[in-house]
Amino acid sequence: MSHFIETRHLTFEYGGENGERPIRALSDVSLSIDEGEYIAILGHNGSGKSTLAKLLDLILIPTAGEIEIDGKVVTPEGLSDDEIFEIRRKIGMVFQNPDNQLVATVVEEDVAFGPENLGLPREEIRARIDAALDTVGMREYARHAPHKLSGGQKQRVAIAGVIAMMPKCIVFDESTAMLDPRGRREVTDTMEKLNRENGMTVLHITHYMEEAARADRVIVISDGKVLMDGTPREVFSQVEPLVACGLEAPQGTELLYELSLCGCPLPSGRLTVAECADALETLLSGKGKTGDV
Amino acid sequence: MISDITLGQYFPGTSVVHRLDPRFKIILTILFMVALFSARNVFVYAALVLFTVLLVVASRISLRVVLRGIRPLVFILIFTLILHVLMSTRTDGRLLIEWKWLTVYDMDFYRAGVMVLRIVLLVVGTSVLLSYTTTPISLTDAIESLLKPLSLIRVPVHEFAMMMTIALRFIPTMLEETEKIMNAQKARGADLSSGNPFKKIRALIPVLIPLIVSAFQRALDLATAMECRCYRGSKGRTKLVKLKSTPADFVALVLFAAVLAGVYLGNHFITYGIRVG
Amino acid sequence: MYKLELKDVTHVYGARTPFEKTALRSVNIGFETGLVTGLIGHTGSGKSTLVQMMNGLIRPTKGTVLLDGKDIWEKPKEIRSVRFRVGLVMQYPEYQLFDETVGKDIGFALRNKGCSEETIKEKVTEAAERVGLSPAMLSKSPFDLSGGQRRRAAIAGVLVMDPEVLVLDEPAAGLDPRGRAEILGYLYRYRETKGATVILVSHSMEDMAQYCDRVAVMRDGEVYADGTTDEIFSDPDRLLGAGMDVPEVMKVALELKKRGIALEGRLYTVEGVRDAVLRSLGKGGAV
Repeated sequence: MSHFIETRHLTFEYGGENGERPIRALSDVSLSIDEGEYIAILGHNGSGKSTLAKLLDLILIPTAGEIEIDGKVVTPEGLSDDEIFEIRRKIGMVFQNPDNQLVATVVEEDVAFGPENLGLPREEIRARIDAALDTVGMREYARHAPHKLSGGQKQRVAIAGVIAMMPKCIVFDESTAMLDPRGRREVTDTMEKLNRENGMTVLHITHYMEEAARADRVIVISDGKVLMDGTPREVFSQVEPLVACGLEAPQGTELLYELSLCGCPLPSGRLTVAECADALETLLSGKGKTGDV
Repeated sequence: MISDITLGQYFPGTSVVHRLDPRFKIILTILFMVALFSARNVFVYAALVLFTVLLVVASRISLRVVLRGIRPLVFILIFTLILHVLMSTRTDGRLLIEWKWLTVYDMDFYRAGVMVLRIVLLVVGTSVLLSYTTTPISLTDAIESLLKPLSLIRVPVHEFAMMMTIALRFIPTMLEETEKIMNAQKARGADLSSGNPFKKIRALIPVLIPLIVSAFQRALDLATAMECRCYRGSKGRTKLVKLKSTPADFVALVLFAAVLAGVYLGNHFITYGIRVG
Repeated sequence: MYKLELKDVTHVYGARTPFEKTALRSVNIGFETGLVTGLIGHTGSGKSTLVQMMNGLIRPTKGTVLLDGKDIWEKPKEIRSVRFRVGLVMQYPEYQLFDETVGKDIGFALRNKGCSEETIKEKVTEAAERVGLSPAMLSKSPFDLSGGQRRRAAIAGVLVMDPEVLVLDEPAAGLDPRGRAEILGYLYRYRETKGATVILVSHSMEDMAQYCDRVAVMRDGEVYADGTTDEIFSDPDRLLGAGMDVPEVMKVALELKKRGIALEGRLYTVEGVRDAVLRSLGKGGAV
């Protein structure tokens, strides 16, 4: 069976004018993503993770290699405007800066923007706005002005604007980077809900470990290449390569790693607070049991 | 905070005035303005004052808000008054003061008073009809709808309306940003308030450049976001808000037309009282 | 005596308008010379207002701000001199860059102060070095730098004043873990070399635990808790009760405590818990 999204040797370069050497933001990335997956794409600033997001929504066109999205192949030749339009119906994007993606002066009119562009009938737009605002928990703010909302609320409005277009997949391009912890929680909760309850494919690009840990699959990108790809447990148990590429593991995992460096017999692949506590309990209760290493 | 200054301040509500079709409201405003500037007789003016008061009552906007809207105009009003009294070249009515080239007749006071009254009624009337009771966005929709015929001769009406919407959306954001940048530069010891005008303008460079850079960045981001939401101009686009006129709109139109007619009749038939203008 | 002290300050935005909002309510807080004090609280808790009061960007509606025991608003006309002594790095400071070159931009504050060109050149190089910007960067346009470099250039633009008090509003916001550690490391070193008083606003309890000597928790325009980092983290229930988080590693320690395994020490950093575990295993401190 073919995948929903597949990138084959995807490469993207920019610059290179005036005889300068072009800069390679993404090199030879081959990935496949299935419908309904919840994936976190993790990488340091400038790792190329945002470039990947922009390629998926055709804001950028590959320099080499290709992307297949729901059966449509995007090559360096690009696509026609109508084909791009069709892909953007399927893949929605939520960006980093909550202020720079809201168009209208009233929340519900902003949510209406996408459906209006799709040329939907009025009653359908109305129904979709209400449903979308309910999903993100912003229904009561329908008639509010976006600039009076908190960062997290603005991002939820932006998400509502995307889900009102009923895409199959939403790409969150560092959508939590500019938010405070509360806003970040609101947005990640919403993502999780969209995936678990609505079966939407979610790609969350971030550099926050604790957010990535909530996904089903974590892809680590470093210097334009895929460094790791696996479950959060698999990825975060490899503390050393993570730190080497400018990231970190959750503190609990890091603690176990540091203790094992000090010669304590501890299992790896422990992620949550409870799991870490279990491992330490076994160690400290001194029963000699070392757990399954 | 600067961001508290709101342009075209809208007060949410459900009054009759709020519910009128914004296209009609624009037309009503024009009728009201014509009536205001056509009036020639104090009684007619009195009637218009009464009408404006009724309008305010119908909109359920508190009188305090309305009066606060006039406050920034006080200086202009006083200036208008003085100018009209002192600079008038008309020589009718009773001569009150004569000093060198300066002559003041009692009619000058009436005329000046009428001018001030006109400005006040104009501001109150248009605020109540438009800015206080109509969201900027439905106003934009109304303008787009009223100007639609022009798109036949290739005037980019939709693009124009979209620009207005975006401008309205970003004004508060940019004001906030200006305040932030000003504070950041003040924190580095920038002196933005003292010195001569030339120095002051120079002192604004550290504020203006970041502001422009950021405005461009926002514009680029927004354009990308809009494209990702399948925006392709007016092509194949529907609208959530369909401006719908109701019988109330036509009633209002008839009422305003009647007021205008009344003004003309009043000008013509009321022969007593002071005539101004 | 505190280096910087806010005494009974209250601040009301838009007084006597329908938008009236009290941002700070009778806040009393002092900052000791040479210490790093963390300021944490939710958005809207009054942190930003408090921070802008420290260098006189906002004048309190009521109360006094004392620098070295002197009211900074004694002579309102001379408030600018306070701003050279209390350096404030605002949130996302890279937006403030404007000059042709990075070097000129960093030197902006000193030109405002009226320093000689020689002094400016010397200090700019020094400030750039402190945030890890090479001299070659100084001749570039600020708009040609990467995001992280712009952030550091903007911070250098405040460090260049050699402020006695350095106030930072989320200096590491939006940066990845390595970027965060770098920036906070530079600031920590500035404190070490200059003996400056540092006030660090952050949303991250991990940063508080890692870098601060003292922590003040703000809530609804008031100081909810204020004490040494040890004191603040010794009462996790109080923090959690205010809707604040505790560092994740501390949650592990708390979970162990619940299960009857009590550890001793600084249980709010990874190193602290690690050493505590090692001690209780009888292995002494770190290896």
